[in-house]
Amino acid sequence: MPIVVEKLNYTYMQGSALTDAALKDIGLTVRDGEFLGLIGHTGSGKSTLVQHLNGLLQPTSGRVTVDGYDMADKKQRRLGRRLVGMVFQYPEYQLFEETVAKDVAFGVRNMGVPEAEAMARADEALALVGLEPGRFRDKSPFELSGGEKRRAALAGIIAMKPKYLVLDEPMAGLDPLGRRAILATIDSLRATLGCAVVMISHAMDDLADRAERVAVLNEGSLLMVDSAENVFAQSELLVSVGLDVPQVSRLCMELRARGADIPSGIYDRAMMEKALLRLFGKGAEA
Amino acid sequence: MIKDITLGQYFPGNSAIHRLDPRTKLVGMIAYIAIVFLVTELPLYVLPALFVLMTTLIARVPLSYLIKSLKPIALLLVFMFVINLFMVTTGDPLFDWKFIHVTQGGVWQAAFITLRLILLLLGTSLMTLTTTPIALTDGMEKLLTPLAKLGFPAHELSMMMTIALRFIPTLIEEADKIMKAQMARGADFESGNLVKRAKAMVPVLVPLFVSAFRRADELAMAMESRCYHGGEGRTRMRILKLQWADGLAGLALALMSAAIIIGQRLLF
Amino acid sequence: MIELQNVTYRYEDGASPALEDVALSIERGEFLAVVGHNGSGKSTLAKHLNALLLPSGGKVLVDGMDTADPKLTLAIRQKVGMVFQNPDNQLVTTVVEEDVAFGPENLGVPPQEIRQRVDAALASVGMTKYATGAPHMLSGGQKQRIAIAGMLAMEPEVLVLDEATAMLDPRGRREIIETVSRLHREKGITVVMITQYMEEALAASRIAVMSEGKLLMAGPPREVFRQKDELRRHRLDVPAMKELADALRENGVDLGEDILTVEDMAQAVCRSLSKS
Repeated sequence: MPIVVEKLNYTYMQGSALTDAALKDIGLTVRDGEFLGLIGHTGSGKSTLVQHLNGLLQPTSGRVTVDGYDMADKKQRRLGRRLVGMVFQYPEYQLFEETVAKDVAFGVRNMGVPEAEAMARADEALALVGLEPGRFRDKSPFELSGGEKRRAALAGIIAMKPKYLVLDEPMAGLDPLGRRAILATIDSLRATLGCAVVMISHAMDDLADRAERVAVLNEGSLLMVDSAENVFAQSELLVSVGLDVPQVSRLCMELRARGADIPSGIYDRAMMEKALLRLFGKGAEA
Repeated sequence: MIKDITLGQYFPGNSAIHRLDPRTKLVGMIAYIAIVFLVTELPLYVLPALFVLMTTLIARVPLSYLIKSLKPIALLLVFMFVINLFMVTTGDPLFDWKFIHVTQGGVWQAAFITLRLILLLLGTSLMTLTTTPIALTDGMEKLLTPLAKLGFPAHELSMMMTIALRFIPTLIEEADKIMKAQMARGADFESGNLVKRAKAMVPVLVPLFVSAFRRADELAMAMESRCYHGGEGRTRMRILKLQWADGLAGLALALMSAAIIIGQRLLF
Repeated sequence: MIELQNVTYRYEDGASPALEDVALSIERGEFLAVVGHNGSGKSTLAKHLNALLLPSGGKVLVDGMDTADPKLTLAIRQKVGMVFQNPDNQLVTTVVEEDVAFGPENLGVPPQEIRQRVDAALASVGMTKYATGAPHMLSGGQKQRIAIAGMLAMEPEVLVLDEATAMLDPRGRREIIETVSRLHREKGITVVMITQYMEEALAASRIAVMSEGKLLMAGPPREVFRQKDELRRHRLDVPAMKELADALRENGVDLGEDILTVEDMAQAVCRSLSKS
């Protein structure tokens, strides 16, 4: 059963400490096991939207259900929240326990799981994110490097065995190598756990490679929800709503502007290569 | 939420009161407090009340805004009024029913105490409403500078206050983010007894503290990169200079205290 | 302008040196990008430029002044301004213009002049509108622009950006690159930009590549990116357009050696097409 968002409206409280963006009439479904990308300009409401998925925020009107649990009802919310694992931006800042293992086990313990099993799950999770339990289990989280801390934070959510994994810009602040590593981890987690993934990202290249569907937010409203191909092919539209498109998309637009006979909607390198080769009469026919 | 506190909130404006030297306002506030305590007869509270009213009007601060600053202590005010109303039993009895005795003395005392508290709070609110945090810390630093010659760390205190004020909203925001992140991991900040709830704050306080230390470290580096080397040789972009308006304010306060002293002497 | 002579640096708890025998000359008026993988020493290098860190071995000379001399520290830091990664942790006060004034105040500049410098600095970064506002209400990119203004108010000759765009979103990153490029062009400020983004490095006239604490190579972007395999071996990427050009060449379409930006590629494609 999916996460269903129906006619969600959210108006932020006056004078709240966080500038929660408003959301207007959002309707969205997150299907079992799917990879859904979420993009939008800064302030378009992405973070606000995902915080409704695990009940951290309540809609002003509309409904959010997770596997049938109504997130507006306090009791059901607790159950629904267990199914949605949320990793915030720069999650390394939430580490607090004496040892890495204890911190990873924190979420599991809050679910009422007995100590022994919680620690076993912590070990499992550490291994899944590439932090060898033997080495890292008893270290203080504050001893870890930046990248290791982020993995530990991710392990903390994975250990809860969520059905839906929500990632808010998991690659923020990482260098190219770090980004590739985290993406590889996310890919392997998905393969191993079978969870659905909702990923907010500014890096469309990364989403293009793995998202099945992409939702585009603009000024609090859902501009479109469609297959990744269909969304990323609309470079002009994405640029017009303040999004950064991949370089090949920009090249595509630039070449077309100069009159070159290139099809529109190219967003990945392989496609561009093929199109250019064909242009020069060197490529094999598709 | 946490940001609902208007006590201490700055109300932007360019009135004569806003433009007063912060030192005048600081010293004036202390003088005002002393004056309010000078009053021993209820009717003479009309003078400080008029003073607050006039200042509010000149400052062009909406009266409703000022009254809102009483919200946090509204309950306290009611409590104090009621306590004094029933506990004080001097003077002619006004109302008697079972164990409830209300006397004229009680009414008078209750009104007196409550009004004093209200006037004190309104006066201090007025000051923070019309003075930016930076101006306040500048004023305090200037006032304490003579003490610096005796070794009192006036500049350092002022710098600490400025930085603290600057980071309060940032830290509140971070605390909120951390809370949400821990709630997403099943942390519960709402249920349980006091001890349980205090324990539940550990996952928020530890990261917050660690983060605060890291911020301090980075800020120190940034400050050093901008040639910060303590208070020596530092100039200020804004210079505080007393104007005739400050003199006027001082005069007004002096007149008010004189009026109160004389009034109490003559009339009571 | 700034000379690093055989600079070696070891952290207290470091097993291997963070910087090993680095020799680099930063010319006055140039725009130098310093790239390298995480832990390559690029940030450590940056902190040597304004005497935040002192070399364990070798010397750093800023306009002839030795950073190891404590008497010269303030003068060096006035000449070399630095903007750091975290936009929040550089802002000191509650009002934007007061924050920009912080630097000149520390230098003992007379009040009238501070006012002028603050106004000029805010105008240079396009933030005059926000002068009396509160810093914490600004976006990341805006905060970094204020940090830059704070440095400009000290009238430095060099501006060092230590991964100043790492925590910003794409729009914020663009804001900063544009601002810095403009300052370099219009005011001739020497810029040293530490970055992990290859696309940003393209804005520079020279790129220095760090790896494992050593200076691998330094030269104009075209030269540096020709050494794709070497860069790959040191965990670095080349710009996307270069990858594309190389892939095309392998398939028989040669658009020339030095294609780095979208502009380069578009021009080369159209030129090549009009020829045939």
